[in-house]
Amino acid sequence: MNKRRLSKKKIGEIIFVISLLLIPIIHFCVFNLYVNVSAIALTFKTYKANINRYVWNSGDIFLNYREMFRRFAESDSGLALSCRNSLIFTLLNDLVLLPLSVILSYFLHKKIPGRLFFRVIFQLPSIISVVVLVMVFRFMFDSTIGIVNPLLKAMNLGKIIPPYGWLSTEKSAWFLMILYCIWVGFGGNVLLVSGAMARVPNDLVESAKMDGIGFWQELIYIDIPLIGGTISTMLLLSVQVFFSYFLPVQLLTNGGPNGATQTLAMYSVKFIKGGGSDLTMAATLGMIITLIGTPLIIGFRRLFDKLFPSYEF
Amino acid sequence: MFKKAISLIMLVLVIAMLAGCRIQFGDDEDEDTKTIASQDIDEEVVISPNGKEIYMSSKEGKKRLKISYANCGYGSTWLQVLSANFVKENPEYWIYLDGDPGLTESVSTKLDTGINLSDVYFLLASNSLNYSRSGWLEDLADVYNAKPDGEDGLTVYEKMPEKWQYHCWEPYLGELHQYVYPWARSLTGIAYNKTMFDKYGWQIPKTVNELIALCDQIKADTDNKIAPFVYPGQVGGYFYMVYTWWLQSTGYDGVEEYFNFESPEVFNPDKQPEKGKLEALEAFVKLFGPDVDYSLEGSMSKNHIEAQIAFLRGEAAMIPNASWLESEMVNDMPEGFELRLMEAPYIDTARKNPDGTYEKYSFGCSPDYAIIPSGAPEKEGAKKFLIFISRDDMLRLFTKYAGTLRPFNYDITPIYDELTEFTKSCIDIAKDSTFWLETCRNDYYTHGYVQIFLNTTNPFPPLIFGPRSKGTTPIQFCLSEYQYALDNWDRWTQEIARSKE
Repeated sequence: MNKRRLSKKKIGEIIFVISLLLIPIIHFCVFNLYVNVSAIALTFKTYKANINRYVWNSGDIFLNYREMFRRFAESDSGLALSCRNSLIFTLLNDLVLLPLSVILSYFLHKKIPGRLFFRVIFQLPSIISVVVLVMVFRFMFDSTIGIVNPLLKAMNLGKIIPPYGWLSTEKSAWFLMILYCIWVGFGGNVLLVSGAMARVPNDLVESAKMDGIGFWQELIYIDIPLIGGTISTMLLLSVQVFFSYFLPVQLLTNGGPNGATQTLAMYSVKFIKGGGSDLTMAATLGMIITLIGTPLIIGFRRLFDKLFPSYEF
Repeated sequence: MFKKAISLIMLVLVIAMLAGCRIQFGDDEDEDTKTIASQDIDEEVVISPNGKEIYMSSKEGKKRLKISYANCGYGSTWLQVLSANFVKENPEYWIYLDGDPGLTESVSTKLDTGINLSDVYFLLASNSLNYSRSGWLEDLADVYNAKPDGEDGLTVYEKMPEKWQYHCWEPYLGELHQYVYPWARSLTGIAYNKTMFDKYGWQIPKTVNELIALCDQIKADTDNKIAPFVYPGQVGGYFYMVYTWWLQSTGYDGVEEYFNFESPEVFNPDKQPEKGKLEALEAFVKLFGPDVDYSLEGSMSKNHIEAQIAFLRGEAAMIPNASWLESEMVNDMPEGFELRLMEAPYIDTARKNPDGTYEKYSFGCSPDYAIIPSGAPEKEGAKKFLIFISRDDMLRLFTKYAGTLRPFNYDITPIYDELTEFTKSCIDIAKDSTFWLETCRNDYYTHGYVQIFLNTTNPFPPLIFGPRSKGTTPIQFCLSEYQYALDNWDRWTQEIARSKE
């Protein structure tokens, strides 16, 4: 009799566990497995408008991949240009924004006068909607109602104002994009780095000061090594900028002029908007990005961990 | 003390951010509701304060007709007026109007999911081909075969000019069906500030050379304080007059031949039709090229709203635009501002009639169209609505409240005196002109390989910058198009053949 009761209890437990796991498993199967398998299958298909169906690429299964690489190799290819632009944004993040954020965080960490005010100023763009930020930024540089042009003219710098407007040429549009990225890019970085710096042990710093360490030496030899884990993580996260930076560019320049600031993400979105045969190309592009990106990210992870190892303290 | 000061500053900043928000309680009012003229709506028709619900007496026991529309450009008053007249004659229906400025971009998701569909969608110009190919659209043959003006009248299809009849057909599984219903005919030209023109005594130019002289006169008379032109460079410039110039030079049949895309030779600038395009671009460069200074500083960086606001502020005398301008900017127009639309002037090589007058053409933007989803809950009511608004009196009401024509043959004389002066100037452009709009079902076109300008939708910036600033000249541009077509034609042909296997 006890055995039967135990079995019932066991069955009850099993049913309970299954019922809890069922929804996440179904969710995974539908929104991960099915979606990804369908997307991969789509890369080997072509859309036939006359029958409104996707059919397998019989005879040349890698047709879509060859087409995508052909587009990349074209001299006036939007794809190659988009990759270049995405790389620029990624490098901007890694080589300009991150070092500047570390330096700014260090100043805040050293309790400079007005640090609370600066903390608010740096954080403000992070909490304001991107749409509002971009709109304000555009108005600032508008040739008729903006404040930048009159200020430059008042300082006898009118010559640097582009005659057709700040968004008219590749150079000036890029300048605006970079300026915007720097303006809004500090908030999140400073928050993370400041938090990591706050954990640096004071006694270590005091002891180094007694040994005569200077202001910048403290940053280079103590703080940066000790927050290496955070920097490594931030560098790794910034790699996703290459694949997904979209909204600010879309709103500010719309990828223009003539695709000069278009990113890889914007290029992908164009395929999805096109529909039909363009969905197979969008899936193919996504697959290529995954195949190239995954080993790259693993490699970068190892590299960053070597350059900025984590220490326990 | 210091912390209190910081807190105060932060509070001020937060309040400043919230100052732009409008907190509403209950239904928001649609400004257009206040402008509806009562003489065109029966007093028994009820329009809710927010302008979204329209019915006779009550909604109880009636069938709901949900109409979604792209709420921009021509506004919504015309739709409210037509809906009010519809429910008056069809009291078994009540109408719910759902306006969304982003509808044209979001409709494909709605059609794809089939959830919470509206019965009719009034969209802006976009690619209806994807919708028809996917089987999302209801066949409108019943609408086109109906006679809205009575049994003695013409069918909806017969009331349409031939070019528009062509447009309403879209393919599904290799067969053509009447899936789209064009609802607006845009009239393009150059909008100008009549108040300013009258003040300085400037005359409307008939030819491009006269327009160039006018630009010089504007700069001289205003001491360079007012620019002759402003244009929305960020959204392509709205340089529709270039296409009109192409028609003037090449003629209707020549441009139609171009869109047959029989071979890459259609892009050869030594002969028509591409020669006409070259001449149009040369005329364009005379007005907007690097060697002239007729445009407001920074025009290339302006979107359409920024450019239109600069025009309304009097910073420029003219702006390339179309018949939606007045409806779109009516709330921003300063007191006493008189807006008109002039037709594109004639280029040097414009064709002439035997009597010596110019062949007159008007170019229409890609047409805005309505669709009924195949999964719409009230398809019969939706079709009734489209038939109803094809009636002559309803076509006239549309023109009165939208400020432009509908793509039908109808007499606007009965309401001409009720139109705004701007609308009258738009209709003058259409009068006695041969109308053309870009619509094509050629395989090269539908596969996206070719279009008006071969490998770009916006050829104008390089022409504006010129070769000294990494731009190009009209002949270089046309030659590059020709070479691109020659280099890729065989590949396109093979891909088209493969797609049909």
